[in-house]
Amino acid sequence: MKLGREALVSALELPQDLCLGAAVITAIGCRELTIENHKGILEYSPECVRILSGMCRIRITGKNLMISYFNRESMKIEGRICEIIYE
Amino acid sequence: MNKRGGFRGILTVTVSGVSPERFFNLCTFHGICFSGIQKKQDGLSFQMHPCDFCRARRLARKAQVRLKIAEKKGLPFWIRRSRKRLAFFAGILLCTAFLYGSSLYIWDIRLEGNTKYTDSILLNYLESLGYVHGMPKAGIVCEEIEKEIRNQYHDITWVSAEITGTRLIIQVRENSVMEETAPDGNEVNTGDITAEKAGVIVSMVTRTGTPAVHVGDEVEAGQLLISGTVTVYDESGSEISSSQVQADGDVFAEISYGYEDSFPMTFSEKHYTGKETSRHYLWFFGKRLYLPGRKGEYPASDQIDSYSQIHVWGNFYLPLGFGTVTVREYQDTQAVYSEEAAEAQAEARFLLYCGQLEAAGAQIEDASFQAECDTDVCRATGTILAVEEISRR
Repeated sequence: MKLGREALVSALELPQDLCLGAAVITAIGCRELTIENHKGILEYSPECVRILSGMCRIRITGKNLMISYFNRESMKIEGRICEIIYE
Repeated sequence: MNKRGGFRGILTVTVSGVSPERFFNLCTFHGICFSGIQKKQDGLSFQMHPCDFCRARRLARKAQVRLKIAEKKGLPFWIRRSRKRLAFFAGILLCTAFLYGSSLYIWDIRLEGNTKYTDSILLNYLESLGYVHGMPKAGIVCEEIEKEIRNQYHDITWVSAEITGTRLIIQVRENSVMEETAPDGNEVNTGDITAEKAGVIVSMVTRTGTPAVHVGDEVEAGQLLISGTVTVYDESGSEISSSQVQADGDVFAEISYGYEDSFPMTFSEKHYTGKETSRHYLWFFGKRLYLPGRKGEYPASDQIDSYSQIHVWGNFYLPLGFGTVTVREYQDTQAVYSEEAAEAQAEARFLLYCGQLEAAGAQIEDASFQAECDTDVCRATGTILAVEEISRR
């Protein structure tokens, strides 16, 4: 069902962040990352931040990670970012 | 979120327990925002607004975490901490009262647009009417000021007075050429136009009346240019009727001005000796309080008074200011122009004369001058050919 929705949204060229709740990730270099359209934090530590989004879980690994701000719509992570993994 | 707290204040809180992440998710779901979430030894530390803390504490119980306030910053907490400093708050109150009290008076009168009437002339006139620095704003009627200035100075055609902050701003517009009073509707004016100056007419436009001269004619001062009598002739050339009107038109003539000027070759020059003394003063409610210092009394000296008034913002001027009076000693020395310097001075004076003619409405077409200097006097002679309007009603 989920795959069918994804295929439909892709075929109709609809914005995935609105239709599927996909997270919008904006990375500035490797020091700053903004995530919009998230569903919450699953885990936080200075080495790893796991975030729930509408489509998947996002794992951000790095060093000295800090959440600069966190609200219902968006969050910003600062620190030395090494990986962004979609789980 | 202002890291220093700002007006709303900011709390630095430490959260510890089983699942701080759940606590953050619950709070964001309820519209609470966080900033600066980072790992500390005793849990996670973050910052939040004090107004959200009560709600966050209820949600903390639900998420089974403990909140501990680590630091309070910002104005609300600072006021609470400083509540015993009565003198400080009294100072704030006094300052506010002073600002409020000052705002009820006029502390600066600014004049704009005046060239013929200097600031001091207009300020003296306003003073004679009772409008002075330090008067209450409540007693000022701007319309009255406008009316009084217009009535006193007839060549000031437009006046606008307004109070902005503690400033009375008066804008004036001067008319360099006095307009003639408009005729009454019932009264019928009649008259001719005559030449004001002698010259050769180069351009002529007649709007009302009968032209008495033509382009190229040489006219004398006082000669009739446009007649106010309009005569109507029939086809045979005999007069049918005649009526009197006010002649109207523009007549431009080429006028030749003779220029003669002379000035002595010796002149007095100020030679500053380098000795100067400065005295600082405070301006307080219209009074000057000089700080200790030498007065600087010299046989010949000039004074430079620089002054600035304190204003909080924009036009909110306070009855406080400071300034400096600098007295500079000089000696009068007699100097003699060299031949080149005298010629340059003669040229400068000639150009000044030309500038005055142009300011009076003349259009200079040709100008030439010659300077001759002897030991005592420098004489300059020249001719200026200018085109200007010569019609006079």
